[in-house]
Amino acid sequence: MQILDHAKVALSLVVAVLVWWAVAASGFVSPDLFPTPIAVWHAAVELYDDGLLFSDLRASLGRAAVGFVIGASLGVSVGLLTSRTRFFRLALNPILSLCRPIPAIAIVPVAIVWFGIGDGSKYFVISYAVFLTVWLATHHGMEHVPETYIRASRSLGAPMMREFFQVVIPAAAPHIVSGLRMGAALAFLSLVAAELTGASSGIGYRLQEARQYLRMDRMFVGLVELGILGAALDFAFLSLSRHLVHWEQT
Amino acid sequence: MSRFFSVLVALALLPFAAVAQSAKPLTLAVQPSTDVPQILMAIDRKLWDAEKVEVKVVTFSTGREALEALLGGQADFAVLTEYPATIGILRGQKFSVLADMARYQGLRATASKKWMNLASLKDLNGKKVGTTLGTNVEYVTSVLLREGGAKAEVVNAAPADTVPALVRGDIQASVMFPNLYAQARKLLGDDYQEIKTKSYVSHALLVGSSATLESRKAEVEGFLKALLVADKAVAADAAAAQGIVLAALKGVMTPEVLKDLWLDYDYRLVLKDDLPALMSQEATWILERGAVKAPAEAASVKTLRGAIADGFLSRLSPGAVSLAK
Repeated sequence: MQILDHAKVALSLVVAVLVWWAVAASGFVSPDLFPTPIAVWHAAVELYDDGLLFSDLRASLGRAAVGFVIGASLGVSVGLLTSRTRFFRLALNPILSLCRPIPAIAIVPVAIVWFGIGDGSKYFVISYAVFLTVWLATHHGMEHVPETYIRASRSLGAPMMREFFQVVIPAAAPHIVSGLRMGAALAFLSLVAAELTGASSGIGYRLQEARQYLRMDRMFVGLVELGILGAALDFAFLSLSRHLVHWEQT
Repeated sequence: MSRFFSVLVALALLPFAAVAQSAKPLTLAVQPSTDVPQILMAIDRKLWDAEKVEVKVVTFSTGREALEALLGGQADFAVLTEYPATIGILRGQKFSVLADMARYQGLRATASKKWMNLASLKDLNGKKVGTTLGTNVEYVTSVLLREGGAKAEVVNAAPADTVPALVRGDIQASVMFPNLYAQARKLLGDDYQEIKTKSYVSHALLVGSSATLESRKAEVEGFLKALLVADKAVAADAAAAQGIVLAALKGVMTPEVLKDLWLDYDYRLVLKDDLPALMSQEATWILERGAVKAPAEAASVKTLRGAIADGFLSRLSPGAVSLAK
């Protein structure tokens, strides 16, 4: 059954590439504006030969990882505080709710002024995007732990700490993990915004440079890289969450 | 269901309807800036109407975006500096240079005394210099470093971020776009330092798509004729032209800053040999960096001269063109 699923995914990708090829080769669009898969492959090889493909990947993954770790740790911690403590809920929820609709790209100019054009501003932009998503998921998950679980643990005489770690956290874990999964995707989404300025390496920077030199083939390499990385990360998170919150699997 | 089919039929007929329209306006993609007073004058005084040419002006935030609109078939004309035009020609794109509208010779390196002493360009050696990679200011940076015999770490910064980066000390010097000099001077105060380049002049070019230049010759001539009238008006009354530019910039520049910038501009529609020569130097530099792959002859003066359609300007203003054939 699993082999059949893999075959379906592979077939879907092959069809997508063939459609892309057909459109690019049809002559309706200039090949300079819509390159063929072969041209994109050659551009990827060129970037590899120039030593840029993996150095960009390394730079971007490093920034995304640092931003994710900072944002996720803060998100889970603050989510625990706002969901379980009235004082923090009253103090932080209004301001965090106001921040949530502000997109990461709008934060970039502020980040540059506060943290400069080095990696600090990039970590800030990525962790900002991750933090808000993880905070909301954690807060929501902790707030919606079924009351019956709490009553049952208390009637059995569980102390507060035990109740927190063995009842509340496991009940909220599926929400937290799904928040982390969304946060990981957002880390990549905000990466490109973060690398728009002050970067001299990374996938976002290379996309921008390719645009400046009208290199659509190189732009497509960056887009494909982002797509593959995002999908791989999502798959990894899904597999991990199956083990971490196995009690929630249906 | 019948409504659905009506919509489908309408959509299918849309391209034919577009072709059927006889007088499609010429679309000009341009960034309103100090580079284009002739265009702003033509808009303000409705000079294209006088030539019976319908022009639709679409504004963009950079010349490169204007070029992208032209390459995507959304514009007939675009105004941009010679650097992105050179890239487009190296990439074999289908457009030609119609006129060199303005030349600016005030590009400079700026620095803060807080982080370094900029007495000569040699002082840039070993420093962190911020500029916007992939634009003509990156090329100017290379020119300035060559002039000073200096080797610096060149850091990428978006145009709006170069001044804050200089103030914060993320970079010690910067080669930024001219519209940012006043802001840098204001924020750095007594710490502001600058050195102008002696060997680079930026050119604001009017380019036209090959399809438009071939199929709408009379309209292109009318379009250019109006610009030549505007050119004369700008030369005759700089104060009025500055007023029009200030109005178009909607308060982002003060009259004093514009007057100061104006001194380094040479506004006149011309086509001279210095243009393909500079574009050839830039093309060679771009190819050496490997950002664009093309054979060496693509960067020759002859090839770049071939991308200049001087026929229109030669007919309308013969004295403005002095290009080797």
